[in-house]
Formats: sequence, structure tokens, C-alpha cells
Amino acid sequence: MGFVDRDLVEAARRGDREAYADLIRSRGDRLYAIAQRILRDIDRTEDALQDALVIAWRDLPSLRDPDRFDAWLHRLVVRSCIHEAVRERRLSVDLRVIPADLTTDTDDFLSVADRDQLERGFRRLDPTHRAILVLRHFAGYEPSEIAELLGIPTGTARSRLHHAHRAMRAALDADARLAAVGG
Amino acid sequence: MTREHDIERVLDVWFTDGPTQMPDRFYSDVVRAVDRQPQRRLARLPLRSLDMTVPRFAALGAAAILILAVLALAVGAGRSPGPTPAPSPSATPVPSAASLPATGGPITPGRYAWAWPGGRLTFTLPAGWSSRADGQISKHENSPTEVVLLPTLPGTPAEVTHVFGDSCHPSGTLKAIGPSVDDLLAALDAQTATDATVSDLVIGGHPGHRVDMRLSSSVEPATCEWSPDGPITIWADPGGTSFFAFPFDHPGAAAYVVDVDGVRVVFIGGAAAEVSAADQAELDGVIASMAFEKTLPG
Repeated sequence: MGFVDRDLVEAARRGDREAYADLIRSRGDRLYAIAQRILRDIDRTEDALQDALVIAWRDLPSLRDPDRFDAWLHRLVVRSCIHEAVRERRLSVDLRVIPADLTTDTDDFLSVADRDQLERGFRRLDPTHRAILVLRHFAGYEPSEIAELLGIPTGTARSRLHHAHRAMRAALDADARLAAVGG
Repeated sequence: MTREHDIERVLDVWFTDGPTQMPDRFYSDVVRAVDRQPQRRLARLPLRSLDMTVPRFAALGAAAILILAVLALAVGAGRSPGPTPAPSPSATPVPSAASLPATGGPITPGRYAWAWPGGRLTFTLPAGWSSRADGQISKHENSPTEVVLLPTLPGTPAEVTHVFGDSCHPSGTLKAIGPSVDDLLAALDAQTATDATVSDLVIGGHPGHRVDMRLSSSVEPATCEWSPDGPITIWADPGGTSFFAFPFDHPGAAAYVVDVDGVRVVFIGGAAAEVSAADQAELDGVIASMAFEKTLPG
């Protein structure tokens, strides 16, 4: 964290709302993108992220080390997303959402059908596994950093990441078999 | 898609789909929500950092705990015997006291007051102290040598009305307490995961108690709700705007509970792990200088 951000965090800890707004502004894009990729739904993304950002403001005086602000904030956001995802699963297990921007990527490495399979497989995952995959493959965190964010041992983070990879591969394979059977 | 696809490569590519910018509309919504949300006021008392790796900490865990205990005892041994009985406010007038700066900041030495509906608690501050908007006064704030006092006075938003039943797993355990001194002492004594040590004393001519709170040695901090650093939570208001809490590895903070003619007056005091004997003596001196005044309510 740079010197300016440290000053902003200190000011926000003391109750400076403008400083906190600046902190949100500079980090919002990344946090929004992470939350959306975990939750796969804009409304739920915004609910979870707003909850996390308000909680972060409320609890900011409890942050002992301003240099840990980003890790702390990411942790709050990911937890909020997991909580929202758990709630989502309780409300609607079978809801299927095709991403709005499905066709916007011209990269032909993944076809529309691939993306549909990935979407369905991902949404069947446990919310913690979803978060771990996003933190690893989108945010670029190492397993040790994921462990710190989620408050779990590094070995647990590694094993959950492995499990999530295996579950995604199995989900895709199952879809492929169904497609073959269905013609 | 075939199974030979490298799932990691697939996910790397797939996650590039989706929005990459926070909408301005959403940002505005968040700022408005933050404007409506007060910050929690935590009586945080930083202390010497234990920046050890987990394995090293595990190896030295017993020693680290022992060192903290010894330091705490050593500081305690160097303390003055605590606030001494002071004459009744009516018998010995004290100098007029000023209000603390509303916005906080450095304080010039002198006599100051915390106020609540119906009374004031006055005290003398030496040089080097500062205040916050919430009434906290401290020296070397947010450092390992900090000393701090924080008001939780009757009739104010920070008044102690609810105490956690379990300081390690506080969620769902916040319980209302009665208005008397004994009600608060009983709740602190019954609190799971903390050790409360009660000492009798006199502050400003009124009978009181100092209740030293610290995480019970039988509790494994890593199992607590707010792991890995804490805080342990002692009390809060039901709206979640005012907390008494401190990190797991803090040597402990004290609640001062005074019976002022039937009214329970409470404030928090504490010193971080590396406090100097001189600053500890200043803290004790501030408490010893305290006096209570009655004012007209409203």
C-alpha cells in the first residue's frame, strides 16, 4: 500500500467518510469484478458488495494495521459473497443464468457451449469452492494468500482448490456425457 | 469441450468474461449507505506486535504467553497503588474543567471533563495527551506504548447496557444487564472466555471497582470467532455502534465501575504492552485526579 493510501486508511479509521469513499473508488472495480464472478448475478453481486463495504466502514476502527487494509477488505467481500451464495442456493437451487455478456468475447478458445457448461458446473459448486476458484484464476492469488483471506490453513486452501478443479472437470465431463446421450 | 482440456487454462480464460468496472450508480449507492452507517467505536489497545510465523509461534507459544504475563506483572508491580481516596467533591472544590475538543486532537495540559445527562467526570491531563471525537483520551495513540481512557457514561450512546455472554464467540450472546454496579460486575464475572479480576477502589470519593479483563488462558484464540487477531468482545450496545473489545494478545484492559450516588458510571482504561512506567504512572494519576460533579439534566 502506498503512502497516500495509508493516509487515507488512517483518516477513514478516524471517521473521515470522504477518505473512505476515495478508498472504495480506487478498489471498487476489482472488488466488483471478483464479487460478480463468484455470484454470477449482478443484483446479488451488488447486494453482497454493498453489505461488505458498509461493514468495512463500520468496523474499520478495529483494523489494527492499515497496511492490511486491502487483505482485510478482500476478506470481507469474499465472505459476504459466500454468505450471499449460500442464501442463493437455499432460495433457488436450480436457477440457471446465462451470462449477459456470453457472446461478447471473441476468443474462440471457449465456445458458447463451453461457457454454458462452465456456468452450470460452476454454479453447482459449493460457494467456498467458487470463491477459491475466482481468487486463484481471476484475482491471481496464491494458495497461501487465499488461505489468509479465508482464514484457513494453506494446506486446506490447496486441497479445496484441488477439489474445486476436480469438481469443475467432473461437471464438464458429466455435461459432455449428457450431450452425447441426448444427441 | 473435452476432458483433456487443461481445466486451469479453461478457468483462466473463462473468468475474463464479465464486468470489470464498478458502475457509478452502484458507487453512489454505497457512499449513501456509508453515510447512514456510524462506525463502531472500539476501545482498541494496540500492543507489541507478535509478527511471528505460525510454526515459530507454535514453538514459542508457551514462552510468549509467559513473557506477556511476566510483562504484565512487571508493569503491575511498578504501578502506583492506584487511585487513592479523594475528598468528596463538595468538601474540596476542584479547578473548573473544560470540555474536550469536539473534533479531537492534541490537548493542552489542564482540567477537562466528560459529561453525561446529570453529571460530569472531571480529571487533570498532563502534557502529551490527545483526544478523539468520541471522548477517548490517550497518549501515544495506536502505538505499543499507548495509555488510554475511554468514557462509557450513563445516558450516552456508549453506556453499558448489554454484555456478551461469550467474548470468544460473541455472536448471539449479547444480553441486557440491569442498571446497578453489581449487575455489571456479575455479567463480567460470568462472561465465558475472559478472566475478570475485580479490585475495590475509590475514585473521586465514590466507591468503585476496577475490573481487569483478559482472554482466559484456557481459550485457544484461533478457535475464536474473530480469529486470528481478535478482538475479544466484552460488551456492546445492541445497535452495534459502541464496543469494548481488544486484541487477543493484549495484556488486558480494565473497566472502572463507580457508584456515584446510586448511578453506575463506567469508563475504560488500559495500557499497551510496552507502556513505560512513567506513562503508566500518568494514567494512574489521571484516574486519581478524577472528581464527579452533579449538573442539571438536559
